[in-house]
Amino acid sequence: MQLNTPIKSITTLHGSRERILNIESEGYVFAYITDRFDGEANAFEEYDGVIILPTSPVLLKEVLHRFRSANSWTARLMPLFLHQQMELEYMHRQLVDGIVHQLDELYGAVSQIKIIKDHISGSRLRTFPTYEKDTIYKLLVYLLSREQKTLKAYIDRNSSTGYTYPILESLMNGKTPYRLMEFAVGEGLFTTQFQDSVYTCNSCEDGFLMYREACPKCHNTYLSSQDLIHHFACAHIGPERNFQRENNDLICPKCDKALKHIGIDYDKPAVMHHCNTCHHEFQSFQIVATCCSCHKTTAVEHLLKREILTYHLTDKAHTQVEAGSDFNHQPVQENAIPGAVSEAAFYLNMQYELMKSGKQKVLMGMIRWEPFDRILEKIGRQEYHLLQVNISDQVRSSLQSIDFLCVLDNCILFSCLHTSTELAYRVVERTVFLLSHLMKDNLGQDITFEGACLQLQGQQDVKTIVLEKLKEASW
Amino acid sequence: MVDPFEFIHYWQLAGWQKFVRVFWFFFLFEFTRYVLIDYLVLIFYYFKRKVNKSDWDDARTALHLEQPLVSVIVPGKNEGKHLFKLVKSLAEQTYQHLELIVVDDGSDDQTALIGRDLERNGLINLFLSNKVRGGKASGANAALSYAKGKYIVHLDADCSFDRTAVEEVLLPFYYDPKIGAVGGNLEVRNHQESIATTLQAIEYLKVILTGRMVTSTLGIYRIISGAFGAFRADILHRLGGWDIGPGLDGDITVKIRKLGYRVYFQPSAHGLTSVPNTFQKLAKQRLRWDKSIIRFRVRKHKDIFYPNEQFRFSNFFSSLENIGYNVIMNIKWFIYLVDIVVNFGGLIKFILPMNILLYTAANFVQFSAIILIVQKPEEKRRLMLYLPLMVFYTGYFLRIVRTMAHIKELFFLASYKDPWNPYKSSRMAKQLGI
Ligand SMILES: [Zn+2]
Ligand SMILES: [Zn+2]
Ligand SMILES: [Zn+2]
Repeated sequence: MQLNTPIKSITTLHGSRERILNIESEGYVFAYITDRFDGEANAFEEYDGVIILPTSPVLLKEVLHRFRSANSWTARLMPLFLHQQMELEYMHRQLVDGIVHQLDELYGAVSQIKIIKDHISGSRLRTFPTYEKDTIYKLLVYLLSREQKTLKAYIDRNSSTGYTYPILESLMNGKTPYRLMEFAVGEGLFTTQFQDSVYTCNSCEDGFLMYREACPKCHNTYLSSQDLIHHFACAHIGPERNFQRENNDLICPKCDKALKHIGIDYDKPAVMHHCNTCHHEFQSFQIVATCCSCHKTTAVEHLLKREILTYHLTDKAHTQVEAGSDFNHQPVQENAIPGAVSEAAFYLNMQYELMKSGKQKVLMGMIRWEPFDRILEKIGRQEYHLLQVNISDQVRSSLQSIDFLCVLDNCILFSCLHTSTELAYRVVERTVFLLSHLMKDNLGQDITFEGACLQLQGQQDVKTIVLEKLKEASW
Repeated sequence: MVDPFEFIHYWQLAGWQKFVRVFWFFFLFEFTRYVLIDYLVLIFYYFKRKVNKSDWDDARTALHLEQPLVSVIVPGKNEGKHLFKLVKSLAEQTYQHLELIVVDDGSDDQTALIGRDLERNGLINLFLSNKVRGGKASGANAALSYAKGKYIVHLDADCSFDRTAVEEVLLPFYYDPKIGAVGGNLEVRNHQESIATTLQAIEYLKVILTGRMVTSTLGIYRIISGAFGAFRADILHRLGGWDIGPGLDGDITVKIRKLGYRVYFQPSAHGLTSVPNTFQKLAKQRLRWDKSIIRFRVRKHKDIFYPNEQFRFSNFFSSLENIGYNVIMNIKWFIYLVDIVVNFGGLIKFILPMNILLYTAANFVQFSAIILIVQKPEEKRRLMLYLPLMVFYTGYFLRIVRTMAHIKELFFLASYKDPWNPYKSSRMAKQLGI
């Protein structure tokens, strides 16, 4: 190709095999690299834009990701262009700012850069100590600088749920963005629109699942099926194999008559399936899905259903980025239970109450449930977390507002402050009763609750006493 | 209405001989059977139960030591709405080594969905859904095909059971190895719903006493209700299960007896059932039941009366008693009616009230015995208020329905046209003459 371009200079980056061509247009300096470039994105601080020559989709994705996940604002917000004749692939639309057909015709790219720079200068580029806030803020600045008002999900076989938001994937280094986006929506920064729904593994949220029929009893997939035959004359019903004789005749095992004409002397009212592993006979399969990532096999009704949404930026996002203002809420930590304190905070608080009370007793309650590992195995981590939240809510509702609680794996600890021993015991007893009834019905599976009341006094170490109690097999 | 003074005066003058002559039917049949025999058997039953108490205790120990798997089978059409209650009632049973098999016989409502859901949640072990209806017998047989239990307990979905019901119904098998089938004791749940249900409640109680305890004690107990009965699985498998109905309950009981097994009624195995709440619905139900007596006793199992190697006197009497007290008695009653009209036609105004008085008195005497044996007797006392109505209920209503059924079946083979069985099965059965 004959290049009629004002190549300014050639830079060799330290540690990179790739050399950078510098191109200038209307006073803006572009770096020209191929997607084989394996250096740091931060090395382009001096440039106004980067033009990439794609050679392979994998390498291109890799290099785009390196820019958009970079630490510095400049690299992350760097205007990126692809040097190609084709249209932009939809996957790249969120990450790339345009196409350059010829290197000597860069006015399109330049005007794009002007717009981006304009938007960036109108934004406050600040950071937040919380990961969630910081990531959302980066996302907002990026989207606004590109005038991208909508954030769409694209089908991608490399994404764990089957869908990806390329910019979020880069910003979050491949972590699933759903909880984060929930937070952003809660902040009023985006409105949502339904796009699709997908099923994911209930333990690792992966969307690559293999579906097939299984025995409802032992979940094995080695099955065979057979018709059920009803002989009208004697009302006998049984599987076809009991009627079959060597010469292909159908003979009723009850009355020894030959079955000749379907609909006249016999019919086949149903199909029965047979499990070749445990020999269970059944009519309705269980459809199971095996997760390709964690290899867990789950009944489909326990899979997670996730809505894939398209997000639309709101005006609030605009004002927040202009002012660089803080978010209204604290993001919910993953697996945090609303209204509950951490285990460490619980012990600390209890210890403090104990110290304050002097010689007086301080009461606390504990309620635990079993068989938590089997329940967890069956319903998955997400549902189990909801169960914990439910239990916590139930306990909360029977406590006073000054009381605090914390949720462990299969146990909930709570203070019973300023109350009599008798009353505390009653609270525990009643809550155990309520939980037993509510949860069993909700869960559709056996769950048993037991409760205990601890009386603490003086210099005792709360944590030691609680752990001691937890070791007891039954309360 | 007859003047009470005239009435009393008339019977005072008439004297004993005439009294017995006019009410020969009552003294010859009804008083003997329903009052005299009842009391004798009742005394005998309790005496025996007391003497054999340690044997019954041993039976209970044996049952709990062996812990056999028991298959509870529930065939039915459109019974989905009852399933959850049934499942709950079974979960409460004192005997727990159960498998529950529910057969949906071509339901056209939500039954398939409900059953499937309960199966998925492990509350039903096997839910068999037949797309096309095959009739009650084929439903039970489908369940039997997949039942793994040593004993089969056959239930209706709309019944509910005492916590001890399954345990109690199994005990006789451990009490006497010659017992092949056990009938449970069903009372009426909705006895307060209407006059019809109240009268049926009384009738059921009377049937428990006379129809079941007495016949069971005499060794001629003849029909194990499909709503609650227990069977040895090996016998059912040997018989190939149930034959097509109606009347399949009586039919299977006869077949078990023919094999030489005893059939036992267990009053302590207690459950509740709902009965038709109007006389119209009741008449329809009874027409079906009564037709089956002709079809199965008189037609299908007439060999019981033949002196062959399978002949047993108890079977002979069981059928004879059944036919006697149903068919022949019915005919005799009409003879009696003719007798009264022809010979005492002018005295109807004296005879009819006396008739009512006599039967009501007999009912009271009999009901006193019932009060002695039932659970929660205080609740049953309410029923005594309605005893006078029983004269009309059993004496006229049921008798007329029964007569209609017998005539229809004897002369027109009506039960083969009964929509209760699918057409395809009935046609087959008629061709084969069963
Ligand atoms: Zn057959
Ligand atoms: Zn299996
Ligand atoms: Zn997984």
